[in-house]
Amino acid sequence: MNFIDYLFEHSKFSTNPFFLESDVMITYDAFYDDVNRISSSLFERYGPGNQMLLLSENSYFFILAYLSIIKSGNTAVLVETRIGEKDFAQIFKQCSFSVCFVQKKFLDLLKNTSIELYTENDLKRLSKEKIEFYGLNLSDDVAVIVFTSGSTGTKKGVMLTHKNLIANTESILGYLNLAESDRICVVLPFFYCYGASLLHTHIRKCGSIVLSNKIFLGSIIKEINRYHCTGLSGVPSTFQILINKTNFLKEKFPSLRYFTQAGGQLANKYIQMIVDAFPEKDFYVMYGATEATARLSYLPPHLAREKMGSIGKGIPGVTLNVLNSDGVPVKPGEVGEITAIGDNIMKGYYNDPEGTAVVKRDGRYFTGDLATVDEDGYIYIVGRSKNIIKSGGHRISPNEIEDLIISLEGISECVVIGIPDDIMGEAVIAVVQPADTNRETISKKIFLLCNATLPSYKVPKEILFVNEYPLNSSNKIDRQQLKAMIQNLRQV
Amino acid sequence: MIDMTTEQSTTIKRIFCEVLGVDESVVNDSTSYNSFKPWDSLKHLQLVSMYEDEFDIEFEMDDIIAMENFGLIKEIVTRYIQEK
Repeated sequence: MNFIDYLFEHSKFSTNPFFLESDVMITYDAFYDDVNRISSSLFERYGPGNQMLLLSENSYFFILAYLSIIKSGNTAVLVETRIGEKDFAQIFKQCSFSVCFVQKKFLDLLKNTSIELYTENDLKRLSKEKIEFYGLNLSDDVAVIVFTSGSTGTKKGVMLTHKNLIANTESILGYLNLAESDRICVVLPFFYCYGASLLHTHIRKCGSIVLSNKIFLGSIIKEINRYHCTGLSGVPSTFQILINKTNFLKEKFPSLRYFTQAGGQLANKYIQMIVDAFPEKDFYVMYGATEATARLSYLPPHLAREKMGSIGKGIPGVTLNVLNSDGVPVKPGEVGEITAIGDNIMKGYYNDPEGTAVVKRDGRYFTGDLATVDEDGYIYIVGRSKNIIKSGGHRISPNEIEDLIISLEGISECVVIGIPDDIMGEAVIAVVQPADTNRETISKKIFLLCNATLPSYKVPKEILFVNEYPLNSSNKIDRQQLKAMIQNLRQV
Repeated sequence: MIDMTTEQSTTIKRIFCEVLGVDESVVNDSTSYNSFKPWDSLKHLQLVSMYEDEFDIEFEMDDIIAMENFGLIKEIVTRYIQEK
């Protein structure tokens, strides 16, 4: 089945509201009509099997382009809007786009291309007369390629099929108990798998979405009440910003039924604060990966206190195991790697069979996350086997930032680490070994270069200087020890 | 018009440009969040903390939301400094 036909199976003739933003309200029947017109027009002009770039913040434009590309049998290639020019050029070289859907704000990234472009202003050009257009049946074909950060710093294109997307949507609905009456407040971008999963599950259930792209996250407090939202989904920094920078915990949110949290580990103290402040509302801790379409596990809300710190167990349809180096499930207390089997596991990385073979073996996906289990089988993450920082829900490769900083004169070595941060989950810190120059000048130079080259979430929050790095037994820089050193220094 | 000392005004602009990593020559009062790409929600949070630390002030949430262009930032920060 075409993923988009699956999504609209029960909602296409509904007059329920689908989309709300400021004073705009769009009902399902009108929404489905828009998707039909654009997808049939795309199919007529370009046929199926093309790659189409989509670069936009959350908006009705994003949603229409995304669903229409997939419905017409083409592949939607999603990239983050904060992408740097270098990464973007690399993706452009790898893919062969026939069309690009780009929000006007980001057109300068595409200034040197002759590829046909559609912005939010000219999507209407693609809109033809009203017809019923059924998508092609393409279950094993690639519906979406999501570019995400790998541990080496180069972007990897995660290929998701129609089958992957349907399987994961079904699994999520198997535990989240969404209904037509549900309305989600969306602050996560749709180019990110967690954000996309909110869109998918709500369309399938004929629920509604409220978009919030405001300058400051705190504005959602009013919006949740104004639009009577029933759900709020966030990454750790979403909840940390709300807790540390607003009166979130003192609010009542009478319409709100549940929270979901994924995209990295939210410290127990914050989970505790939320479940204490909102004892009547459900708090779902979840875990996932783009390579798994989105979701892999969840902790049932009634266990939020008893199993605090756990990511729960595999979602329906996913077999989640923590395996030791011999491939055997670990005993309680032992540490192993989280692995997953299910129809939601990606087809592979685009143009990268070697990279795919490293993480996907015999149909099993190896997450790179190290974990242990308790006596009842609940999984607790203890670390990562890959060198990755998780900040604001983003996966960040320290190597990329290190290579950039070392390229400056006057720096002999640089190590980038993530340390716990009240706002970002983890904060990016660059620890620099300077040659003999003035430290202040070097700091300035580093910030200038990083700000000009990297998206804001990768720019180090602080630059620290050391004369010597701690080394491990094989005489390599010991990142863990360095991290501990820096954290100790900050506590003094 | 709210008065502000030249020194304060210079500091407000310096911090804005440092946080966003841009040259002072590209910033004016109408530089706005919606169209100026280096200014995203993460940078906005950093701006808020930097101004709070520098001037020892604490913004109300509605003011954090209202600071949508550089002119408004100057106006709002100055008001907090004067009310201190």
